[in-house]
Amino acid sequence: MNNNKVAVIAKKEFFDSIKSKTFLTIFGIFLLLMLVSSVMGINNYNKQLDQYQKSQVENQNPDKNSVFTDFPEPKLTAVVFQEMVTNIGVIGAILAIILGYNAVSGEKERGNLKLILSYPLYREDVVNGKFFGKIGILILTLAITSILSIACALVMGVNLTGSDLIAIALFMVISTLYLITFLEISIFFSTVSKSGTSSILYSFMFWILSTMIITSFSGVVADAMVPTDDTAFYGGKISSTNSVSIVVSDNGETNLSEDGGESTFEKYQKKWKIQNTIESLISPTQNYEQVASAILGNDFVNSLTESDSSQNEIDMFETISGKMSNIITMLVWAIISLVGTYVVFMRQDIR
Amino acid sequence: MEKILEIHNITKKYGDLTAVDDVSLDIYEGDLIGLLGHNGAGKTTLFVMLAGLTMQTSGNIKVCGKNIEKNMMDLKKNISFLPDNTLYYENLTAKQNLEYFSELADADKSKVPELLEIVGMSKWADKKVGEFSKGMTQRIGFAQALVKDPKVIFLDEPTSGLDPKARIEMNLLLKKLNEKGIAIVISSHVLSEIKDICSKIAIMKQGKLVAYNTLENLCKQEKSNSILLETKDVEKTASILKSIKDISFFQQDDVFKITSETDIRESLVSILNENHVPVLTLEYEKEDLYDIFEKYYQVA
Repeated sequence: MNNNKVAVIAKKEFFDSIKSKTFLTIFGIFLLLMLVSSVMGINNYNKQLDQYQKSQVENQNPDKNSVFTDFPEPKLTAVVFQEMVTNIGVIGAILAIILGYNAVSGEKERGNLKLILSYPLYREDVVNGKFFGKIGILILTLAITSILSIACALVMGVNLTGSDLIAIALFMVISTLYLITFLEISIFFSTVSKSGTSSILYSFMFWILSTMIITSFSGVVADAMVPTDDTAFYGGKISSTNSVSIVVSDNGETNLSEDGGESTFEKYQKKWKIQNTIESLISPTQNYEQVASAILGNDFVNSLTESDSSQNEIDMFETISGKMSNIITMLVWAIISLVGTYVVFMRQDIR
Repeated sequence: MEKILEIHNITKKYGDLTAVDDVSLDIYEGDLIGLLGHNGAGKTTLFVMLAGLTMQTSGNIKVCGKNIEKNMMDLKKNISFLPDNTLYYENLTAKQNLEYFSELADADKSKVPELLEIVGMSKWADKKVGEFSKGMTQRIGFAQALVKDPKVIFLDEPTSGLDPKARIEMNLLLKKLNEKGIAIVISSHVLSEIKDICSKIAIMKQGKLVAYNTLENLCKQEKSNSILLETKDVEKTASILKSIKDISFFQQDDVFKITSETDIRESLVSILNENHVPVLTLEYEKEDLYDIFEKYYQVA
């Protein structure tokens, strides 16, 4: 590998992407969504904090006429950044695909690949240069997003603690890894495709398969393995672990026991585990959302499936260790794509 | 003259297809070689191998005496390649494109204005390549080929899609570069261009190099079987020629072009003398590149 050549290609890729209208459009939408979700999240956080503080005062001076209320202390990262997980999961993945889909196929289409490879550089220099240049863009994107979100929080009077900042930093690291995964998948399809059109089509097919189709598929498999009466459970059908999490966070476990009974709840737990296992095996997005939510303090899957989920303080090391299988599964796609890209590109006949 | 490239019995196979079949060729400093052949003859595959994009299945290539298998970077440093239909980076200016290629070649970026001057593109240095005509883009291609300060340049169909004016300018540019001692190998379908500017001709057919020599030597090698005859009595000559078996002829003004499988000059002169038809001229028709090319492509 020639580091100098890799740097030259990476620099060009970085500035090309920054100037690309397609990228700038998606980036603009992404940034707007992130800002809106930040502002909404901070407002929610302030409201929940206000309610919590009022409940604390009321609990210290109980009034016979008032209804007893015990609001949990809101966790800043869980409230403010949770919406961002979904945004990064969807728009971030699209952004990464847009960045990578034309990396190699575009060079082939323009006839530039023959030209570049006739220069004194190795084939891996081309792949590495493109890869690093585009990673730079992803890091920049997430850095801008985090800085703006933190700035919003500070402007809106939120105090950020050291543990909040650590959680945000880890959230951004895991988000970067997630976006790199989709970038790599997209570059792989770009390497095997002759045109950018086919490349973007394959990348989006993978994305749809791994986010939407797999969710329905895992639901069908879980239904078949553990049949349950969905109408008995708050009258709504449960199709994914995400929709379950909302139900639980709004209503709590007490309601579950009263309405569904112990055995029904156990069945649901089993069903969720099956669904979650299938999705986690295939979907990078599912794995990302689980890890990111856990880092931010919203470990839905654990709160549903583990008996002891009453912890308020999050031990980051423990959280990361607990989610290591998700992180590894997510990165397996990136590694498979990276290795695939190298193998295909090194052996590809340039005619 | 320094021998720059030595190509010994190279073959390239893609599965069952033999794209280049046992080709040997030496390229010297200052050579201007025209590589001819129909589509699929193996010209581009030969270029792709000589530019270091793909390895030959067998045979070896030496650049300045060094075998490229162990010194691929030497080959790439000394050779420039201008593939056909290259669009370059349309979002970058002419100058930025050349600066990028200079960086890839470890060349001095400060030479870019000089290169733009050589190809006559200084005025458009800061214009985006996407706004250029085909001819202007091709000029950028030439400048790109020069950033490495190469010893050999391979040009794959450099004038395809260019208007006549741009073709003439391109050929002048090629001659100018060749005068600096750079060996140039051009593949083209336009025989007239090759004939006008190239000192050597190489003809490829079905992956094989079937001819490689100077145009003059090729013409000498390939004896024509067409005779040009001019007599004082055109009408009588025509009737005599009609009576001779195993020949074909056609008349253009007062000259007959006669084609036969064997040498009929002596017998023809005696028949004409017997019929009292004075012969003014009788000679073999001079072969040109078109005839030579056609001949190689007619031979099975």
